[in-house]
Amino acid sequence: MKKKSETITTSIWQEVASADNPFVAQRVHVHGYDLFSDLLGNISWVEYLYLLFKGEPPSIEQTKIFELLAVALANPGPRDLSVRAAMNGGVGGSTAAASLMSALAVGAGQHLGGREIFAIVLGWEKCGCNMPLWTQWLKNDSSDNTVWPKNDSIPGFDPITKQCAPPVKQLLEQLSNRHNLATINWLIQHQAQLEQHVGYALSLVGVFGALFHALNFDAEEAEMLYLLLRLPGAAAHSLEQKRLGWKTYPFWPDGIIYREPTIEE
Amino acid sequence: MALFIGSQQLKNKFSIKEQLNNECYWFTNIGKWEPSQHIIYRKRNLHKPPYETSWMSLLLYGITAKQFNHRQIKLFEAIWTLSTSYPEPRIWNNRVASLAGTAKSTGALGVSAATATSEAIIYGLQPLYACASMLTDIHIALHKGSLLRDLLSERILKSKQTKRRSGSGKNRSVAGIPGYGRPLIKKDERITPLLDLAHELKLDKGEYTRLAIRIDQQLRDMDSTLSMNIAPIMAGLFLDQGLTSKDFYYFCILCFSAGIMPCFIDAVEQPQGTFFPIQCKNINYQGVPHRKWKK
Repeated sequence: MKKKSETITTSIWQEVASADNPFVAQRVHVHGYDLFSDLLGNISWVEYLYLLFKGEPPSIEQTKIFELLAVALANPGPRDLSVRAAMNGGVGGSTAAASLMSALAVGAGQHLGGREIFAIVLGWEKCGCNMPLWTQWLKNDSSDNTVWPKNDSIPGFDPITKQCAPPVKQLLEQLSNRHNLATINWLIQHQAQLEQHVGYALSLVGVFGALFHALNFDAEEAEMLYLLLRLPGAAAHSLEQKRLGWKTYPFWPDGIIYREPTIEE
Repeated sequence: MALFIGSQQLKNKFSIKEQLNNECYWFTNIGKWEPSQHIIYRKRNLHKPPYETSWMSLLLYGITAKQFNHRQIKLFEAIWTLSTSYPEPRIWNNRVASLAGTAKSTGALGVSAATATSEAIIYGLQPLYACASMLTDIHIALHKGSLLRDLLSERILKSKQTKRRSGSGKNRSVAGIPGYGRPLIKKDERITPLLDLAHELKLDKGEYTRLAIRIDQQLRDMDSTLSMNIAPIMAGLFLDQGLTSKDFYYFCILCFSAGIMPCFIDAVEQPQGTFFPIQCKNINYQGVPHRKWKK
């Protein structure tokens, strides 16, 4: 049998094998930087994330914005759909990975999830700071004939309120006080107009999407990072519920209202 | 018979606002468990004779609320067994299960991750669903008087214009004529046995199955290099039973499971980390030269 090795092509990661074992790395380089003797101790978590995705280090300003975004995303709280999914894993005693996989599956959706961020960043890529383009784009872009189900909400806007939620205002205020971002400045200036056009209030997800775009992440990168950066809260809440147990967790004993009046005999 | 909660009569469908105002309830006609009594599955009491013993029959009932005869259930099972149950660990979704096995992860984690991976662009759920949708759309357009050649040319042109490729690149998308063309090889060995079996069951002559074959012939007449894989036959046979492309998507979600599971078992029974191990030198680095991090 002829031995034929195959290779993984990458511009992210390079390894030099140890002299005595071809499966053990002696040195590892990430985008050209020595991981264990140069990056460790000198690079922050968000700088490293940025480097992995973009191939270049972020500027000081980008690092601060990304740090702010990562903290804002890290825990959506226990009412969030993805965190609730993770807690269901915890409360029943599922494996840790099952809890996070549940958070990812639910947090991937077009409503408050990764696919909503994808759509918003795609919107920024297509429309930039151009109001007529946005008004055109903000007609519901339903994804017929794809595996993503039909969704009636408009990406970046909260389908249950016309009043901008305090956290959205606070996030925009923090951003405008600390940073001078064209994307965010435009969003603040046009928020009322956009909300009037759509009929709903700008949502936190809408601001997160604008921030990913401001950090030069494309729609696919933003979707991945959004999924990833929301996992810490899912993990912490899942573990908390695992320890509390199922008796204190909602079950809605009388909550199912079966509509079908007849049961076939 | 109208249903009430307190004095409130239930409507057929609630708006988001109404649903949020009823936050303690979930209104459904899918099912309900009455502890110590029974389980209602759509309209059926699952624990009352005659007991349902066919899992495929129950799965299809769960998806469609319809009941199927023995021949139809046999056809649905054959679509899974002959078309999508490959215990071949190099196929990308199965490989996830093998990797989970070699990493000594759990069977449920490996199988569920591999199942989710099956929703891919170049194979699996995305082209399967797109193919069923295409057959439905073309079927309608032909009834309205369009010509098959024009419909296919339009799709090929549109796909070229979007510049979104299925095999590589940014924002990849499913091919313009999904189900015609197969990664790696041309001839699809699954078509003959599945059509043979459908023939035995006398379920191979439906409009959608014939349309799938007609599209293949038309593409050849247009000198296209595309040739039919199993997806249009799977979709055609399924749609011919009076079902929709969305039903087909749900039906296909678990269709790879019989191939995925043995891949996990095979790898988990071998020493850890031994499934196609990769040496350091087999990372083909194409990035920037070594450099120093800013201090």
